[in-house]
Amino acid sequence: MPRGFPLNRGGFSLIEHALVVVLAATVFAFIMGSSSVATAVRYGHNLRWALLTLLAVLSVVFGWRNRHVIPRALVAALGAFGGVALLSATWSVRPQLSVERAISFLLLVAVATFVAAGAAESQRRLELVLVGLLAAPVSAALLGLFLFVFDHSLAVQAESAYMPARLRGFGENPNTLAMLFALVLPIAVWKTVASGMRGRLFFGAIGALLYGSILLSGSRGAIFASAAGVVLFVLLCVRSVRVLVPTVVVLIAFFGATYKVAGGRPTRSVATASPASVTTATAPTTTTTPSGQTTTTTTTTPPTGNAIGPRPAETRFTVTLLPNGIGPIPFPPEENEIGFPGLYEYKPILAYGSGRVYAWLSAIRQGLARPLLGFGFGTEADVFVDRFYIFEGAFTENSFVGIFLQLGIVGVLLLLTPFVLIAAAALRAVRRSDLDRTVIAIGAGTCAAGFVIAFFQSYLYSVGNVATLTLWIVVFMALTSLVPVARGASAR
Amino acid sequence: MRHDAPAVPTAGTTRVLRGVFSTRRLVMVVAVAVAAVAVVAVGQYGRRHEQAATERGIERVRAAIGSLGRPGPSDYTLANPGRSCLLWAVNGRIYALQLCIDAQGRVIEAVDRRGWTAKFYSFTDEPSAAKLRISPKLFDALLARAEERAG
Repeated sequence: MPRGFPLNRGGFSLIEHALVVVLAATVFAFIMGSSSVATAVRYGHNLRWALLTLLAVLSVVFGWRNRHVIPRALVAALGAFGGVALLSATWSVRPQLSVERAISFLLLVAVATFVAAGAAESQRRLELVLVGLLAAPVSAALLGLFLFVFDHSLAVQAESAYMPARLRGFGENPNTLAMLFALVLPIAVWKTVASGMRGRLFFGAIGALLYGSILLSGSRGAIFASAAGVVLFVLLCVRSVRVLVPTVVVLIAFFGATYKVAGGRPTRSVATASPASVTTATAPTTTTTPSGQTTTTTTTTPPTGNAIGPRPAETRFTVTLLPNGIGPIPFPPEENEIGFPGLYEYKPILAYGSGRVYAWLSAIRQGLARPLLGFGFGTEADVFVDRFYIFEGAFTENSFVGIFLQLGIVGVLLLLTPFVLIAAAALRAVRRSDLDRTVIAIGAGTCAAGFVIAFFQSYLYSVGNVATLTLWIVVFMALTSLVPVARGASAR
Repeated sequence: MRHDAPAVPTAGTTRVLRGVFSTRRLVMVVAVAVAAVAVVAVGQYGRRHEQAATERGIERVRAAIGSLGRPGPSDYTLANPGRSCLLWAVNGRIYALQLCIDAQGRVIEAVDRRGWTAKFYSFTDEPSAAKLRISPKLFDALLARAEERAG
């Protein structure tokens, strides 16, 4: 029997149509708010909050009848997170900002809760919402290609000493849209394998468009996230080991090969900018990297000499996590401060650090000044100060480090809870042979991608980010799909 | 024919009221309230503790500089929005100690670069917490000397 508001019994009801259109429009408005096109940013900023509010109203109408399937543990965890965020106004460095950000986060949680509850009513509603979530990223990817052809300078971030040229398309920077594309890739893969021949071609092309855009963006975080999302989706969906093993091997080889091609950076580069007005003396020195390779770099010494004697290259510059210099972590053998112009040598992130890792460690060190509950929700950009030549950003570019600065270890634990719940749900689903694992597979895949991206972007709690709404809706959908099973089991 | 509502609660009403005010719910509400109060108390303690530590750090840097005018700052930086900074040399290291003030003369940041790990003590995110002050007049005079020195 068709459910929902029966205004159109033959197809989707009016509320279903309205919800999916407003959902796609809201995600797109958030994309516009972080666009490379100035006009789009202006309209996006005005539209996104109005659309999110409208979406909140529609989602309650959409999901109210099915509210009994709302996953209580997830709502409790995110409700507690939002509650602590709201309370943080009492110790925040920006009280009003903390209140505003907490309220917008709680609104987003309400939207995700009711969209997921409504979607759980039927398979077609579920598919409608998932395809709706795919619509905005695909539109943005197509717009990116359009810009690439007609306004190349806008669509491509120019090559620099540190970076090759990278596609940013319709996004503010190359990482902006790439992470959203990585999040929805499991949905595109699912539609590709679950559709008929024409559907396969259509959604296969969408998957290729999304992953192709990620590769051209050179966003390593998005490539890792895509791999994590798609591989986990396949692991949960495919039941036959004879099919599963070769599929996973092929996927890992595919993602590894594409990472090697697209995720590379110039092997060595030297910064030319120096904020110090004084002339500095430079001299080539030989250093040994952790992987054992010996490289020759140019290091800079202060012009007036230094009272501290020479130390081994690998320990000269450190960042410490504990007070009073305890536990120094050797880091790039280049100084990052005034008087020491940075001559940062790029290091692959997996082989010991990049500028971003240096910023994370410094931010954690800063967060340890208020370890339990942080500096207040939404204050990351105010509290984190980018003092480094080797890093450029107003945020820590790591969701867990960012929330540690804002809400301390309490915030980190509450933010980790949804990922733990999804992992537990995925394990439960694997043990049950009678379950349709599709939704949990999509949810777990998206969640895995989102978890990886969280290590490269401060976004999980930032409602204005392009990927936040999509991630939480899919997480809620995945857990909501298992609620009747769990409650049925406990009732028995 | 309509009847007036009964003055005493019916069994249905009682059930609803019991649901609303059940012991379990009351316990949960009280627990949430207590947790909220505890969270606020701990958060505010964290703020006070951090502010005190930052203030102590700023005072240590100020004490390490000694006299602000003799021999005077070695350099200056005005690149950071909202603050002007002077730098003092120690043992030939010209950027060793740094004090930054805002427009009201509050010392909102101090940096100690005498070791290999720079130590930052900063109130840039909440300047109102800064207690130490330097008269903007004195600061301007020191800045003029630093400008002269830097050429």
